[in-house]
Amino acid sequence: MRSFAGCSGFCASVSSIVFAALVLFAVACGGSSALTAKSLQQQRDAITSAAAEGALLAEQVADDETTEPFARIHSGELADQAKAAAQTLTKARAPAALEAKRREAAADARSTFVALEELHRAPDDQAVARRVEAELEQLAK
Amino acid sequence: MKKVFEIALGILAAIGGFVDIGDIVFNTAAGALFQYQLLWAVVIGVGAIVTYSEMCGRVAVVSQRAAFDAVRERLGFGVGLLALVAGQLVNLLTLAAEIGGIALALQLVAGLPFRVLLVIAVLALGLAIWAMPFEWIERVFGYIGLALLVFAVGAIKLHPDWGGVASGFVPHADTGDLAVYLFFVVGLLGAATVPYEVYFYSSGAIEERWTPKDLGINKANAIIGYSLGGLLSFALMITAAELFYPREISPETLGSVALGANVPLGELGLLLGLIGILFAVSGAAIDTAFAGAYNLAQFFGWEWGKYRTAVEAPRFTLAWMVMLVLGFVIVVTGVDPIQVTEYSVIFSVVALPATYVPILLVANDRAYMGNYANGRIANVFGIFYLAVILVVAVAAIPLMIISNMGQG
Amino acid sequence: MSGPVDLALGILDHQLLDSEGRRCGNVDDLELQGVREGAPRVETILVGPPVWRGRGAIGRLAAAVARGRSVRVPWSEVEKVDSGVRLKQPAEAYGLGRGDARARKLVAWIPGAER
Repeated sequence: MRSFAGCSGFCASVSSIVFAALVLFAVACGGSSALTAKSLQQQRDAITSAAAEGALLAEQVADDETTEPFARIHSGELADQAKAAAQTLTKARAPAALEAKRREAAADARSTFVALEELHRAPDDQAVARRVEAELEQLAK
Repeated sequence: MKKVFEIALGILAAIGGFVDIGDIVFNTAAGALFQYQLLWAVVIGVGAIVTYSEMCGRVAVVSQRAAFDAVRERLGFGVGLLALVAGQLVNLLTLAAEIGGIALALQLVAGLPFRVLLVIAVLALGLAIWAMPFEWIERVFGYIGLALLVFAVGAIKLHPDWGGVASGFVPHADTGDLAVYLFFVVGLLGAATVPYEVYFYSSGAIEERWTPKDLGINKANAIIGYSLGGLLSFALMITAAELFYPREISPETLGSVALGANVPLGELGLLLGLIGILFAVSGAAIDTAFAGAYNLAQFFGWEWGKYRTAVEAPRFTLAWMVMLVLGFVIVVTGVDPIQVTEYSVIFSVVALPATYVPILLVANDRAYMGNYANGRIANVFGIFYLAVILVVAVAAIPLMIISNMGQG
Repeated sequence: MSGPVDLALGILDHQLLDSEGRRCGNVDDLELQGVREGAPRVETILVGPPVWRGRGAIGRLAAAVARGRSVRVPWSEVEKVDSGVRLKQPAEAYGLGRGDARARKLVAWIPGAER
C-alpha cells in the first residue's frame, strides 16, 4: 500500500512513540540502594502515608460505607506501597548510625503490609476492618 | 429564552468538561502537601484558559480558521512543523495518561483486571467517537462529568478552615521546600492550560458551526463555564487539604482521590465521584485524540471534522484512531498512569508558548478579525497570561529536576 | 482577483478549498513572476511534500521523509481569497486531495462511515 502524502504526519506519530519510550525509561528507572538519612525518612513517610490512608479506608469498610471492589482494589494499591517500602528498606545497605532505624522502619513496613493485605483479602468483612483500622492507626503515628 | 437555555447547557458541559486527569492528580497532591496554599495558582491557571479559549473561539468563528491553522500561518512551515511534532508528543502522553485514568476509574468501580479495562476503555472511546455526533459527545461527557460536584459537597461537609482557604488565594509559601512548592505551581498551571484544550475548543467552534451571532455563547462558555469548572479544582484541593494533609498522607493513586468523596459522603459519594472522574476523563481523552487529529489535518491541509462523514475526512478519521491505539500502546506497557500524567503536564507547559503566541498574534490581526480583533481588555489579559506562561515554560524542566518530580 | 494581498501573511500556508468548499491541501509555496521588474505577481500555487524543500532546513527534512507528488495550480484557477484560497474547480481537476482518496479505502468499509 502506497503511503499517502501525509506520511510525515504518521512519521511524526512514530517518532512520538520513540520519545514516549524514552520517557517511560526515565520513569521506570529507580534510585540506588545505599541508605541516607533523607531516603530513610522518605521511606518512613511512605509507610506512615500508606498506614494512615489504609486506616481511613478500613474505617469506611468497618462502617459499611464503601463498596467491595473499591476496598479491594485500593487496599491492594496501598499494600503494594507498603511492600515496596519494605523491600527497599530490607535490601538497603545502611551506615552503622542508621542501621537500627532501618531495621525498625523495615519492620513497620512489613506490619503495615500485612495489615493492608488482610484488608485486601477480606474487603467486606467489618470485623477484620475494625481490627486492621486500629493496627494501622498505631503504625501511622 | 431559547438562547439563555442554550448558553446554560453550554456552560454545564464546560464545567463538567473542565477537569481532566492532570487536574485531578495535581490538585489532590497539592492539597495533601500544601493544604490551601496553592489555591491562587489554580486561579491563575483558570484565568489563562478562560482568556485564551475566548480568544481562539472568537478567531475560529470570525476567520473560520482553527488554532493550528494559525500556528502554520503565523510561524511558517518549519517552526510550525516543530510545533506540530512537539504538540503531538505531548498530546500522545496526555492521551495515554487519560486512557490509563479511565481504566483505573473503571477498576475502582468494577474490580476487573487493569489491562482488560484498558482494552474496554479504548474500544468504548472509539465507539463513542465513531457513533456519536460532535455535540452529543460534548454534552454527554460534560453533563455526566458534573457528578464531580460531589467533591464540592464533600469538601464543604469536611468543615474546612475557611479562613485558611481564603488565605490560600493570596500567593504565599509557608514551606521548607520551595522547589517542590514551585513545581506544584507549574503543575497546577499546566494542568489547567493543557494545549489540547485550546486546539479542541477552537476546532469545536467550527464543528458546531458557530457564527458571529454565537460569540456571546462563546464568551459565556469560556468565562462562566471554565471559571465554575475551576471550582471543581478547588474542591479537589480542599478535600485533600482536609483529609490527607493532617494525616500526612501522600495520595499516590486514583483510589486516594476517590477516598476523598467516600469519607465525607459514604458509598453514594464514592460512586458519584468515580462516575464523575470516569466521564470527565473520558471526555478529556476524546478531546485530546481529536486535538491530535485536528492539528495534523490543519497543518497538512487535510479535510477534517466530525461534522464531515468518515469518508469525507478519511485521513482525519484515521488520525484519531491511530492516536487512540498509540495511547493504548503506551499505557499497556504497564507504566503507572499517574506518573505519565505528571510528565505529560510538565511537558505540556514547555510546549505552551508555541500554542498561545500564534493565537494572540492572530486575534490582534485586523485584516483577519475585522472589528472582532482583540480590544484592550483581551490584550491586557492575553499579554499578562502569556508572560506568566513564558516564565513557567522556562522554569518547568529545571524545577522538575531540582524538586525530583515533586518528591523533594 | 484584485486588491493588494500580503503574500506571506495572506496566501502562503493557507488552506486551499475547492469549488465545493472541501479542504484539499495547504499552499506550500508560490511561484512568482516579475520580481526582478519590481512588479511581482503570483503565477502558480505549489502543493505537496517535494515543494517543502523550498521552505528551509526543516522543510527539506520533511520533504525527504514524506512521500507524495507535487501539484501545480495556476493562479488563474483562484476564485477568491478569504478565510482560505478558493479554487474554481473540484479538487480532482487539479490532482489535489489524492491523499484523502487513498485513505478513503481504509475507512469506507467500516459500517457507518458514510453517515
